[in-house]
Amino acid sequence: MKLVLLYVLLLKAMATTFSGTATLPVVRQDFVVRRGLLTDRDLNMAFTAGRSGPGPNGIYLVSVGYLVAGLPGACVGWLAMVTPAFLSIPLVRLVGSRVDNPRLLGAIRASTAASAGLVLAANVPMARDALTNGVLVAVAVVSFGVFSFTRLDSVWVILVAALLGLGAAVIH
Amino acid sequence: MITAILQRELVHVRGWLTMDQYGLAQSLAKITPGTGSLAFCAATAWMLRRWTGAVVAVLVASLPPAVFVVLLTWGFTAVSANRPGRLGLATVLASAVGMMWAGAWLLIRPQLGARTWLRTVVLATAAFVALARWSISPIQILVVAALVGAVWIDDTPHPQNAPASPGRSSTSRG
Repeated sequence: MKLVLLYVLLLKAMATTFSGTATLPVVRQDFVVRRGLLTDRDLNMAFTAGRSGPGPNGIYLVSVGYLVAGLPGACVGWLAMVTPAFLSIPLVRLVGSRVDNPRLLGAIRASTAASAGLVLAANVPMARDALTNGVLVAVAVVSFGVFSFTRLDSVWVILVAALLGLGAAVIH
Repeated sequence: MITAILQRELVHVRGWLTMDQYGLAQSLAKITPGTGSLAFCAATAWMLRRWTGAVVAVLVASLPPAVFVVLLTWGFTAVSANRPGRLGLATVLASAVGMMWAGAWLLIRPQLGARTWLRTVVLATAAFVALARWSISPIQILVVAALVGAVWIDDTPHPQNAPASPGRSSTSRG
C-alpha cells in the first residue's frame, strides 16, 4: 500500500472525530471492510498495543500503520496522529474566546455521542472474533467493569489477562 | 492526566501561563479533531514558544509512546506464532474488547445528565443501528449527528466549567 494513501486514510479517521477511540469505526471501515488490509483480529491487536502503554488514545494508529506497512507505516501512523493537533494553533488565533458557542459545542457533543454508538457497532464483529468461549466473555466483561468504574491503569488489566491466558496454556 | 500535570507546572508552579490561557487551550483541545491531549500540548506550547514550542511539545508527547507501541505490536505478532503465546494473546484481545465497550461508555457518560441523556441515547443508538444494520459510512453518520447537535442544543455548562465527575474520564490517559 502506498504510504501517502495510508496517511490520507488514517488522517481522515483522526480529522473526522474528537477522540482517539472514536476513530475505530472509521479505521475499521477503511482497513478491514473496504480494503481488507487488516482482519478484525489485527485491528483488535493494534488497539490492545495502543492501550498497553502510556500516550494519547489515538496512539493505536501507529500500530495500525505498522501492521499495514512495517516501520514506514508506523511513521505514517504517527504523522497522521499528530497532524490534527496543530489545528488547535489557528483555532487559538481565530476562535479565541468564542469557543463557548452553544451550537458548536452541541455539534461536538452530538458527534461524540454518535461516536460511542459507532465504536460499539464496529466492535460487534471484533467481539465475535475474539470472544469464542465463556472464559473470554468473562474476561471482556471484567475488563469493561475495571476500566469503566475504577482508576486502575489499562496496562494492569492487559497484564492480568495475558497471565491468565499463559496459565491456561500451562494447565492444558 | 497530562493536562492536570501541565496545569500544576505551567500555571501554579512556574506561572508561565495564566489560568485564562490554560482554560482557552483546554477548550480548544476539545473542539480540535483528533487526540485532545496532543492538541492541548500544541496550543499551550504555541502560547509559550510559538511554532517551535508546539512542534517540540507534540514530539515529546507522542514519539516515545509511538516507539513503545511499535515494539509492543512486534511483540504481539511474534508471540502469536506459538501456542502459549496465542492463548495469552486471546485473553488479552478479549480484555481489549471490554476496553472498547468501556471506551464507548466513557464517551457518553459525561452526557448522561438529566437534561441531555435523551439526545445522547437517541444519537448513540441511531449511530449504532446505522452502522451495524445499514452499513452507512461512519463519517456520514458523524456529520449528520453534528448537524443534529447544532440544532438540538442542550444548555448544560461547558465541560471545562462543569464539576468533575468521579472515576476515570474519557481523557484521563492524556
